[in-house]
Amino acid sequence: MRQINLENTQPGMVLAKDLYDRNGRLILKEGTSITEQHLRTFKVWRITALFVHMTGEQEKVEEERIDPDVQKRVDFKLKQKFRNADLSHPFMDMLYQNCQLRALAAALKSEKPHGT
Amino acid sequence: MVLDAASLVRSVSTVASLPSIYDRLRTVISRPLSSARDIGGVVSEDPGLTARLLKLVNSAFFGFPGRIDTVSRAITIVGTHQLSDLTLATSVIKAFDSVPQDLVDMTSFWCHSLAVGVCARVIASQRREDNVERFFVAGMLHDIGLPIMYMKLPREMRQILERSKATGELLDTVEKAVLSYDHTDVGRFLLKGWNLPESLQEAVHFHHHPERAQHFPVEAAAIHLADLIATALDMGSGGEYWVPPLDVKAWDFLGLNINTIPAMWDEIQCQYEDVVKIMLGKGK
Repeated sequence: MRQINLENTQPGMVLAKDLYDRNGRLILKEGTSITEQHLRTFKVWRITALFVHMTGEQEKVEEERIDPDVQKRVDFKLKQKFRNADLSHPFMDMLYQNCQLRALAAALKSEKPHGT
Repeated sequence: MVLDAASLVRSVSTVASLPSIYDRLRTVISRPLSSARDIGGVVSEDPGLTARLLKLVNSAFFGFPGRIDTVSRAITIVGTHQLSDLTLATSVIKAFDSVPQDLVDMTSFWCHSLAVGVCARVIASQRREDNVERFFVAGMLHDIGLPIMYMKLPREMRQILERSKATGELLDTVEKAVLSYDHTDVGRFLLKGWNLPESLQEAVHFHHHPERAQHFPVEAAAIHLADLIATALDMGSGGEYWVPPLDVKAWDFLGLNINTIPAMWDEIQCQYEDVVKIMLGKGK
């Protein structure tokens, strides 16, 4: 399971956690296979990130998008930052994943101009 | 000689005095016969404040449909106590204009403070608290002891910052080890000197140890969680490098639904961007 941004969500991915909007309203149950129609609805409901299960293939595509060096740098920095925190608590785990997502998005953005 | 926390605050009372508008506003609000127009009259004495308050009530912070363009209208919609809390938040930044910035970038300090305010406010609205602006102000003030310490104890604070960075110890731990008090003690004395309500004093004083709050445990727990989020998400910094450990009891006590957390990130980001623009923007 991993948390991904809406723009990287592909039809066919399977929701790994119940999806709620910011008011706590349930939008979609876990285990649902995401369709084009869902993606359009998420946009309207201003969902920006969600948890999905990925197939091996999807996992590979997602991983190839991210330079392993960048991933390593991000993880190293975050591990330092969270050195006093206990990540086994579900809230801390979510917070950590969110930080990871943000840091990777920022890294991708800053590297794009040099990219091929 | 190193001053204790109370004397430290006394020695800066002239520098960091709260703008009188907040006191005048509270006097007017406490009179039972005051109308929204009377209160609006006080706020309007300060055009900068008026502009910022109006921008704030028209931002993603409130998300009201339609424009609110007078203070008295803002009061009827937002509420008098909420408005006075927002006034406090808006005027406190000004009170610290003269802090020397060689140890801390005050813009980054206020970004962190505003982020904690926003996070606390989002947590409070999840809990359906009556006055979420009270949480916003508490969050905004949570590290208010720090600029006082940077001002009065620059040498000690430089050592403290360096040691925290080098050893991985949390800032308040190092402060306590070196000075025998920390920024939360200083913050409390300052708020006390300003005659601010006990709920703000406790929330600020106990944000690293929410279990010690006796009268306002919700406020303290919310600020604790908010501080952790803002630090983790790198929204400005008051000097702390490391994400503080979660007080699990405070988390349980707040009773937030873990499923709504991912949606909370977006709301926090949205409100944070708006509030930073309004409170620290050029519209001085």
